[in-house]
Amino acid sequence: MAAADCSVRRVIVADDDDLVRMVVRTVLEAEGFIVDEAATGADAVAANARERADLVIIDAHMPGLPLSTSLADLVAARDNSGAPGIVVISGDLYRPTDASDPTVGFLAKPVDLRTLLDTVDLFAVHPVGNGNGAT
Amino acid sequence: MTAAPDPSPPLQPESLLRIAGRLAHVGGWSIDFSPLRTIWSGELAQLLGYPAGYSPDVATAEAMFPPLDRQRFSDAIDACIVTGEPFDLQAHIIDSAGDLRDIRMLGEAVLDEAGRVVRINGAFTDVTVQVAADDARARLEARLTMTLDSISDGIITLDNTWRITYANPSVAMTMGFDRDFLIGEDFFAVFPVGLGTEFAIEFKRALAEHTTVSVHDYFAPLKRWAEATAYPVDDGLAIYFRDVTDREVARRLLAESEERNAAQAALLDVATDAIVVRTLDDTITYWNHAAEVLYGWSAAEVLGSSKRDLLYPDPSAFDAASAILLVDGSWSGEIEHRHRDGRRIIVEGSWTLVRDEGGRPLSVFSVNSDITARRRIEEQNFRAQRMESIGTLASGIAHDLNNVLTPILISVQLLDRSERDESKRRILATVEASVKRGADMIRQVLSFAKGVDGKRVPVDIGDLLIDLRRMFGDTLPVTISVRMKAAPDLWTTRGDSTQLLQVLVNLVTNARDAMPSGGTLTITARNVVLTDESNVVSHLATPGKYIAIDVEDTGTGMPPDVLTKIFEPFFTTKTSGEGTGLGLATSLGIIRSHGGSLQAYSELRRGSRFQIHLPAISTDDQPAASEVRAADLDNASTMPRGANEMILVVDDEASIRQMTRQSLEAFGYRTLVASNGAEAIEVVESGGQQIDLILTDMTMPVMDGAATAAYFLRTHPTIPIIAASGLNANGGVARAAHSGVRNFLSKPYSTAELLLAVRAAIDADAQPDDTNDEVAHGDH
Repeated sequence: MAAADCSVRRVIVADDDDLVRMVVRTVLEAEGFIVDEAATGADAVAANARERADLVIIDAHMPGLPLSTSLADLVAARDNSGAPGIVVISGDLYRPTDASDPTVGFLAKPVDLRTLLDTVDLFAVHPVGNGNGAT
Repeated sequence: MTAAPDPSPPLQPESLLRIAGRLAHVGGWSIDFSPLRTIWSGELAQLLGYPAGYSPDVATAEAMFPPLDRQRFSDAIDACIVTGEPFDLQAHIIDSAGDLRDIRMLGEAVLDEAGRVVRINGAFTDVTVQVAADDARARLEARLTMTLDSISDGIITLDNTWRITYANPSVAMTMGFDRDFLIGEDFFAVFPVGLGTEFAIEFKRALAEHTTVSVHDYFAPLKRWAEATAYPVDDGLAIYFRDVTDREVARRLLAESEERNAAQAALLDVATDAIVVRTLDDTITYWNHAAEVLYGWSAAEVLGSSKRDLLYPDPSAFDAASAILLVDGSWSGEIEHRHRDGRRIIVEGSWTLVRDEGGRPLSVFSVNSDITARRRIEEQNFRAQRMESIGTLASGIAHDLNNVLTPILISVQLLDRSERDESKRRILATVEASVKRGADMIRQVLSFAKGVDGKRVPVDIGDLLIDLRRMFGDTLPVTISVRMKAAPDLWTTRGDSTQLLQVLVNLVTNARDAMPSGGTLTITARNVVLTDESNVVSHLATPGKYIAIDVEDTGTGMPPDVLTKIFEPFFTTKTSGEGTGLGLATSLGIIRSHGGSLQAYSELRRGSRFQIHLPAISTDDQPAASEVRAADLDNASTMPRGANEMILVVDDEASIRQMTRQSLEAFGYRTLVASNGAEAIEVVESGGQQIDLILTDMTMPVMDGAATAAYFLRTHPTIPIIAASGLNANGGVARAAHSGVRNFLSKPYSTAELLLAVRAAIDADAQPDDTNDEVAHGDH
């Protein structure tokens, strides 16, 4: 019933490592997601501001904005349904203290394909204004 | 019966005279003047070697005298003829054999009625022997006088009235008089300053008591030290004086210097630095108390041995320093020494070349300060800083590596999804496994470098051990038998079970690797309460309730120098590629982050034991660790107390001696301590105190526990012995049991364990016949 473009699920992949962005894009596009890439926290926030995404996968260590600021901006930009969902991805063992918000997911690199897909499924939230609510 | 011999006819007076003449070597002679003839007695003829009855004519008789004496003889005869006076002549005569003899001739004129001399009668004596003796005496006297006159010591003789009968030049000079003047003078009249001195008192006693006296005293009037000996002689005293001022001054200087040396030696002995003196050929000649403490050898053991051989694991360092010392006269710097037990000691040495008066090198005086602890702290700080940098670097690299591995892992898994070719899928699986293994390694580095965060939820140690057993069930070689014993009512700790399991896996892996040819792996878990007093060996800061987990193997064990490093990051005994050297460092980090402790005990070729203490948490049916102290104090009143028994505590670790001693004394025992077996024997054998029990550590330098126990079991079988050891299965206890000790205490021990063991050992010993319990207890 909804318009075709409204039902499209959109993910922003923010990582300063080109290869990481590329492989995640490959996986998620294969799953039917539209993937936007960002190489900094500020780019990710801006991309979400242009068009609210279902999910932002954001690397914990990127040049520019500190993770806490990027996360605060993204959380502040959430709509009523809670979109975008947010997952922090990191080369460290544990979830950074900046990402203690329980509504934020965590992925430790190197990410297993299965874990990546499960986490995306769990945290992606379809924006209210973009279509028919939660996926 | 025999007939009595006939009495001999009585001797005639003439015969008697002849016999006397022969015995006394006296002959008779006479000269008749009308007619002129000579008559010799038979004795005279015999004396001069002529046949009896021989009488020469006058000319022949005169010719028997040498020319000078011939003249004197004929003068004496002439005088006698003219004056009729008798004569007494001493002369020489030549006997029949041609030998010169000393003779004495007495002559007396015989007158006729007209008063004319008609004959001379005389006696003749051979005085050769007397003359020779007189000559000898004269020579002796001359020599004696010359000697007495020439010696530098004083000789004086006094008669019974203190008159001087002889004074040699030395004594005359000392008294200040000409010696000729002194003879005949009263000694004290010419030398009044001598009165009232110790010398006068003693000389008077010598004369009065007729005894020999010796005096050694300062003679103030002359400002000299003198030594005098007075010998009583027939008519007074002979006194021998000697000026000993120089000797006395030297002796006093020596005594003062010895006193100073003793004071200095005492100072050297209280010095905290090791002071060693060695000769140039490297023989140790002095070794102060601090050196004994620092190096573990007593002075008696090392004096005479080579310092180079004794203290230097690397003699080239010693040789290099010695070379500089010989050139520059001194050397200072850091150098590595070796303790008796093999430990490395770093000292700051200051060596000086000692020279004799002629400037020739004599010996080397070394002062060595132990800076091992300081250096260790510096090294630890340095290592900590280095670790921090390495940690920062490693976590940066690990972070990047995870970024590198991410695309690989996901790509491989993506490819695997669509790949149908089995051989290609196997290749992909290999790549995936490798990536995951790499990721594991990175995780280890990160978990070490980042410190340990983790969950803090209640963890059941029993469950943890079940997980551990499951993990190792099939992977341990069959040559290793596993014993696992967990107390049924184990308390709970709070933490991250994954991390704790990681620690246990690490310890079990190490144990397995330490037993390449098999052995026994023992894992035990029990509850322990550590109080202030019982904090004996654990080094835990806080008293409380803990769960103790022991992982013990019967493997290769570790030498002390390895044991001290095993918790350092990147320290590994495994070959390159087999271990990261992070296992125990990470394990220690994890246990510490849980508020616990991890300790290691090891004995080479006997095995190792790792002990984990994890704090117990309060649950519904157990008090919190913080509540333990009050409860424990209540327990204190029920602990078995001593009855003033004397316990000898033998341990090389001062902190353990101290804590054990405090615990025992707090509970009614008296204590003595020793730091090794040899000292313990000295304490016991000195007999100063009756010892009621000996508590000995098993691992000690100089003389270990097994040897110590064996000695006492043999020499003092009535003194009970408790052996304490960190190792149970294969270590100290096994050896103690082998040596005959029946009481054991496992380290670390709590106060309660200590008191129970001590009480049990003393009581068991008091009642060798255990069927008689009640009687034996009757006096309590």
